[in-house]
Formats: sequence, C-alpha cells, structure tokens
Amino acid sequence: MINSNPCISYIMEENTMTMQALVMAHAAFGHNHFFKNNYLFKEGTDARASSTISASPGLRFALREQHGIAAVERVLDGAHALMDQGVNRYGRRARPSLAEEKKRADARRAHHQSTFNDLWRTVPTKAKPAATEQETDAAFHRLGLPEENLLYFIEKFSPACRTGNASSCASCASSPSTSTRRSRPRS
Amino acid sequence: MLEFLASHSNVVFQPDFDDPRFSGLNPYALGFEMMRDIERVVTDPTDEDRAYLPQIAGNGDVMGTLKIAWAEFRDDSFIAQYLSPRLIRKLRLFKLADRSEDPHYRVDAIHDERGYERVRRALARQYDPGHRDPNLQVTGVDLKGNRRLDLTHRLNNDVPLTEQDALSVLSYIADLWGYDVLLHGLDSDGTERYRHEASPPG
Repeated sequence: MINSNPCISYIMEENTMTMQALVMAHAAFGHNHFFKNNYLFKEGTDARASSTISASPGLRFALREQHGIAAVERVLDGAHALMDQGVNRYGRRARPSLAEEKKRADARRAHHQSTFNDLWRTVPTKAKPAATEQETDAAFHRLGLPEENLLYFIEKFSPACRTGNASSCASCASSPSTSTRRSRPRS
Repeated sequence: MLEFLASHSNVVFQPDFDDPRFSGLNPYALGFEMMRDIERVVTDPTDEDRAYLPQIAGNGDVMGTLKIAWAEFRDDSFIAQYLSPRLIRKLRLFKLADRSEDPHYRVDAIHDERGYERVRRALARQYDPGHRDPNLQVTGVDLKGNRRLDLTHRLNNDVPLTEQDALSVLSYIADLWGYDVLLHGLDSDGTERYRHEASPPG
C-alpha cells in the first residue's frame, strides 16, 4: 500500500476472489481513507511525491547495474530498521526571507544606536573561548547537531556515502532520498 | 462468505492474557470493538454513555461520527476520547502499576468511576508516540578523527532499551555509517545508565 495519488495497492494474484475483495476493502480503501482524510497524514505527507519512488529510474539503475541487489537490499534493511528514527518530530522555525532579515538587522542597528553608551567600552569582557572550542561549535552548527532524524543525518553526512563505498551505501549516490524528511529550513 | 468471516475473525482475534499466543492488545481487535461501541453509543446510548460521551451519545449519525473520529484523531487521542466504561468492562481492562522501587505489582485502577478514567488515560498513553518512541538523537561525530558517531538516548521514565534489539539496530546504523557507532543512555538527571557500541561488519 503506497500513499500516492492515485494510491497503489499490491495484492497477490493467487488470492481467492473473496480475499481479493477483503484486501482491497482493507488496504486500498481503509488505509487510503486515512491517508487522505486524517489530519496527521494531511499535514505530514505529500501524495504527489511517493508515487514516483518505486518507479524511479535511479533506483532501478542502482539495483541492476551500479551496486547489485544485495547491496541495495542491505541499505533498505538498515533504513527500515531506522524507520521510527527517520521522522522530524520537532519542527524548527522558518528561515526568514532576505527582506525580513534586512528589516531585523535595521531594527537591531536602530536599537544599538538608541541605547548607545560609551561606558560599556570600559567594562572588562570575558576572554574569548579557545580556537578549538570555536571550531567544534562551528562543526556542530554545520552538522545541525543535535539531530533527531537519524536517517536524514546518515544520508547527508555518512562517510560511507561520501567516499562512495558501494558495499555499505548503495542507494545514496544515485537514487532519491530514502528518509521521510519533510522540507525543513536550516539556519 | 465463510472465508470472509474466517479471515475477519482471525484479524480481530484477541487472545487472553494467559494464552500462549498473547502479545498485548491486538490493535485491530481494539479498534474494531471501539468503532462498534461508537455505533452503539450513537444509536442506543445508556445513561452512563450520556455521562461519559455526551458529545456523541444518541446523535444518530453513525457514519458522520466515525468520519470525524477517523479524520481528527491519532491512536492515543482516539482512545482518550472514545473508550467507554462499557467497553472497559467488556474487554476486562484494568491497570497494574509496576514501579521499580516496589517489589510487587499494584492494581491501580478497577471498574469504578475513578478507575475508568485512569484505565483510559493509561491505555491512551501506551499509544502516544511521545512516550512509546525512544528519544534518540545524534549528539556528536568525530569527522576528522576516528569518525565515530555518538548517539544519545534520553530515557523516558528511566526505562532502558531492550539490549538485544538496541544492538541489532545499532549494527544497522554502523553499517550505514561505515564506522563505529556509540549509543549511550542518559536518565532524567543526566547520569549514564548504559552504553552500547557497534562496528560495521567486515
């Protein structure tokens, strides 16, 4: 059962007529009713996207030519094991547009000017953190840590994917994303 | 028709707690019972139903009520909203408290006015993803050194992961990551409760 528009339901040819009707009523109509009408699916999934993945030429190419079925299957197994860790549960704030950002910067500058006091210059400040500490902070920021969506993180930053290590990461190079990541702005 | 009935009964079958086939509540059984119960409350309510489910009791519109239930709720809120005392009695649900500091189980809620409320809340909480799914996050990665991936599990109610399951999933993560993976579990005050490691195969 795939949540697409129109929905795709896989049923076994060998089923009897009764079972066929039952499975269609359960999977194709029951599940699909939830996909279309339940508020969580309405908010969190996009029926236009999922119909293309199974038929994607990239995945078929990866399966047949590039990596072989065994390697792709291993990645899919791993991704399935992380199914519940491939969700963004906590949304982040939307990234401001360029105009909004400029407005904010102007407001900040205006505030600085209106509250300017030369005395602050004479107050002793704390020493700046060591360079290594700053570097680590920057690296953490770049990676977006802490990250709750393990699948997303692996897809983006796994060294096995980056070095094109075919044995352990087949699908990343050519096929669409395996994680169920919703579009999420990064700061 | 018989084939349909056999298949349907198999799907919504609920074994008793002392049955070897028992593995918790069958979600199909619970859902089917609840929807039949909603139908009963909507068409033929008792005084008790009117007290507990005043928003739907006796409104006569079965399909409309069910459609709202399907559209506007998720598993936990559906139970919190619609599990009736009559169904709690029919399924013989009650609540056992199992606390780590207590050597015995305690029967925490029975079939009385306060008990129904507790059973309903406890059962709903079992299906709440905020309580059920472990809070796992990537908290560190040594991209310049040994490339180890650090994961932190923040324990909910100080309940650790089943070790065998955690190790299996961890080895999948190590496989996808390509290098060592470390998982450590912190309880509510930040002390480390356990630590698992996995390396990629080969």
